[in-house]
Amino acid sequence: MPTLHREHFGHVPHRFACRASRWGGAALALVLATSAAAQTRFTWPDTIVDVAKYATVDQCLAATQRVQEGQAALHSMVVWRDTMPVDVQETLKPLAAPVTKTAVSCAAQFDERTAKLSDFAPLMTLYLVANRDADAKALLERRLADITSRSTHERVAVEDSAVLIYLHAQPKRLDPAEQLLVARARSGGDRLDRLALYGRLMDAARDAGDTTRARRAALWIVAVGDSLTQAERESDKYTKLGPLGGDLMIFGAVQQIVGVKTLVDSLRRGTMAMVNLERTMWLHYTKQRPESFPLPIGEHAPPVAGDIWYPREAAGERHPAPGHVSVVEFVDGSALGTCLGIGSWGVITDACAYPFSSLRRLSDRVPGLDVTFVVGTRGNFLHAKPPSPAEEAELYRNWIEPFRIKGAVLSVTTRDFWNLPAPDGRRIDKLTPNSIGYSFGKSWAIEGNSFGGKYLIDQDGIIVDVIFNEQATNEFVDALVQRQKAGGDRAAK
Amino acid sequence: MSVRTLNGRAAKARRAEPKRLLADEERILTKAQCDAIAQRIFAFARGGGETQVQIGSWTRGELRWARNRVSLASDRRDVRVEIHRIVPNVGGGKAITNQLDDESLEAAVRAAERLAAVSHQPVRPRPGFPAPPEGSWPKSAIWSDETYSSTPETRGDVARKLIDPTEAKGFYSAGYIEMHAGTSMRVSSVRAAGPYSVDDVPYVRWTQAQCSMTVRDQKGAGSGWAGLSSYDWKSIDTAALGARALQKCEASRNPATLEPGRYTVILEPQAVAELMQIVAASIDREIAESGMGPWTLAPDDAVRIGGNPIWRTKLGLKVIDDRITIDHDPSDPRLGIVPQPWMEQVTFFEKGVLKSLEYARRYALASLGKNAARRGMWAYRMSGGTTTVDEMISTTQRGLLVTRFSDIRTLDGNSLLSSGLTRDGLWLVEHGKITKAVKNLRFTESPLFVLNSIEQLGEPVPVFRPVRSAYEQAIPLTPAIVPPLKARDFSFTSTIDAI
Repeated sequence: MPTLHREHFGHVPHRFACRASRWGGAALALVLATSAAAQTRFTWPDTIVDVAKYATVDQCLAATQRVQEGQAALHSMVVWRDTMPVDVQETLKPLAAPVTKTAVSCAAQFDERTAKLSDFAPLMTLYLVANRDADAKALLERRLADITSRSTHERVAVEDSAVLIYLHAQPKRLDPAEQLLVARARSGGDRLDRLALYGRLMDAARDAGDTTRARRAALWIVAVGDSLTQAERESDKYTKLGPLGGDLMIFGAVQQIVGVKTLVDSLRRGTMAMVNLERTMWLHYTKQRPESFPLPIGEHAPPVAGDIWYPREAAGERHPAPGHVSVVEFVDGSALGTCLGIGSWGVITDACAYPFSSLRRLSDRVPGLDVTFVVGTRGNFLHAKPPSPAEEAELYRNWIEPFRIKGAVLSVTTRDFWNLPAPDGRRIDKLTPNSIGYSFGKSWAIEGNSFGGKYLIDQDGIIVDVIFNEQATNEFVDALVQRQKAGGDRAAK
Repeated sequence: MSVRTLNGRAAKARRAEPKRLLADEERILTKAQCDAIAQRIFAFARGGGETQVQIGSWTRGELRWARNRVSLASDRRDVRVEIHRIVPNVGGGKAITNQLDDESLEAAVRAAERLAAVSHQPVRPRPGFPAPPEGSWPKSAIWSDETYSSTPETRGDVARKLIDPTEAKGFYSAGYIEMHAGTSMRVSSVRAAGPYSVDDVPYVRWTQAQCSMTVRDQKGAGSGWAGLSSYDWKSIDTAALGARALQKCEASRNPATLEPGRYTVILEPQAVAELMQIVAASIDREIAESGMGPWTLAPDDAVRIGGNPIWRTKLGLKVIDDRITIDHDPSDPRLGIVPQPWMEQVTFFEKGVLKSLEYARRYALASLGKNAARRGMWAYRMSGGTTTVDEMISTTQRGLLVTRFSDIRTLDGNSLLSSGLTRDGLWLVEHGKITKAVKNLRFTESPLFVLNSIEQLGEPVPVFRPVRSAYEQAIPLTPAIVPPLKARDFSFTSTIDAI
């Protein structure tokens, strides 16, 4: 208290002090004592966040997401991910401890036996973040038991929600997701419904690097696919299965079962041996005609044309280079504006760097790898002044050159266009000769599309693979290099 | 660039100056004042780079009443200075203040620079936007001294004249009067005098006014509404609005229930504008070219190149009644739009033919080889005819007279099939006369169907479409000048008990 008195005295306003001097010391002491007794020292309010006091599931989930975003931001400041290979098993790693701790603390108040079922989805998500998997399962069972309607729609909707929650959780809960999907597949629905369910499981397992589970789902897909009638194969539902349709889902399952190692063994014998294996698999399991085989593997890669080449001397060379393992990559020009900040609002560095980083790793590891980047000019970049083809070519060079990919050349072709008749008048870009040459009469888009656009070519100019996966590409390239070396050794003997 | 710092006697003297926003006689900033503020801010910047300054000032007088009693009478003003510092290789940061003294402005600049330093996101300078073509800056007069000089007393008098007749007849009324004036300017230290970027806005001042009123029966058995918005308070006849709302309330009491079905409808201009809002929101060229929306041709008409469909649009095709022309004229003050660079007159539909769809400048550069965006159906004029609403009624065997709609939701983006409710007055017309008030109905109909089922058109008039802020173009209300119209076979799908 004496300290408090002194502090208050020190803060008495001047006007008040003058009045006190007139009225005398006794009155002053009385007034000050009364004033001091009526006041308390200022203390900072409690600003520490206590998530245990949050009242609703939504608030808890939002709190965990805030912590998770904070952890991700912290991680991004210390680890630059854009040049590192993708770790597919990252989705199976546990969450950072602060995130789990927040969820545990906040979710403690929610009992899975008494929680509101209207909170089912967010609460199940919260339980998984808090590693209360048993409670999440109990909540799901309560929710399913609450369905009284004879209609299966509500049950399917709840199960779908649960599968998504399990698959979107970190780490992914593949076991319970698989149990739900398999139980549904076995409880009814037609064959195409079952294919769709198994396809989801295979994709989720493959994305998480769980090859055993992916192979198991692939076996189911192949088995069901084998039993489809012609009418089912021609149905609209079949063509809309998965992201690429039923045929490609079944073919993907077959590839999953066969595995990259088998294809590589075949490739060591010869490119056409592997191509024939893949074509046979396509014919056998999809029951389609040979010409419907969707991949351009086994085709002879045409020489890349170009109006402008970097380096300049590449203009007189043939690319892909005979006698070399080659990669031909069609560069998506729509990304250039964003990647270089030309006429765009933002710069997305990671997305721009990743494809080139993987090629740099490959070219570092494989001396003599011939890499050809193929570009068709766009002519405009958002708000920037439209560049000439030469200026645009220079922009592409500036973009790709810093990645220092050994043996890389850049071919830039001026893109022709035409205009729809008035009143539309819209510019319609023509395909470049390179784009036409590398489509091999197939219907997919080479440019601006992730399906197609990257080709692995053997020393004889035959397309080995359409590049989707860095790991598989590495194995194919190693096999091609070893095959060439073995051939050279045999010739030397 | 000189840097002013706060230290010593000068700083203390400046701190002692009272901070004031604007003097009473200067409720908004002049161009000279805005320029001076921008220059002071530019001078405070440290570390080079670009400084973007957005300066706004506004004054707004409002009067709101309900149950015949005034609940709000305000007269407010404020300024807003938004400072965006972009420091090369450092980042960008933004700070906002409404204090115009040096100390506050400099503190805001420092705050923006601190944020730039911690942003960890180097910002690339945005590319310059070519200067607007000569003469592309519309000079429409959207300034009204009458609106700007209104006082709380003016608004109180108006409200009293609107409330008294209502109260005298034993009805409740609720309403809103607003008079709004302001200025806007957005400049950059690297383009202080142009050429302008997409972000820059040369100094502009504007006024907006609105008056609307709902009258309801004390038992909740009837409801009437009237409203109008304009940049010019003089053009709003408040006495007529009040009388109209009262008359509609009296005439709409004790409505009968009518079976839903297809009816000939006479849509008053406000109802037409509310239906046309759905059309206005759909006028997008890029959406049409992606194969969606009402303005794309069927998939069979798409051209396929290399596996990619080139969706064709309905540009140049007759899509609605050939008596309808809809255009946008930025110089028409009745639309009350604030002039902006690159605004041009656009015809969206000409005698029923689709002539233009909205697109961005990015699209114009990439696909059309042009350097300017085409604005959408934001603020439009619709052509009409000479038939009065009374004549429409007298020539109708059986139909419904609709005051306005509310709660409209689009159900299908391709056909623009939408659903909404009638409100504030719905009457049955039989044998050329209004025979009775009917309960509100829910409609499920496409405005495109209505625009192809028109029987008669009236004289176009401005309607109640208040613009809350001069630069809030994303708001759902579109200033419009539309006619009343009569259309056949309008689909009502259920009865609504709400009055």
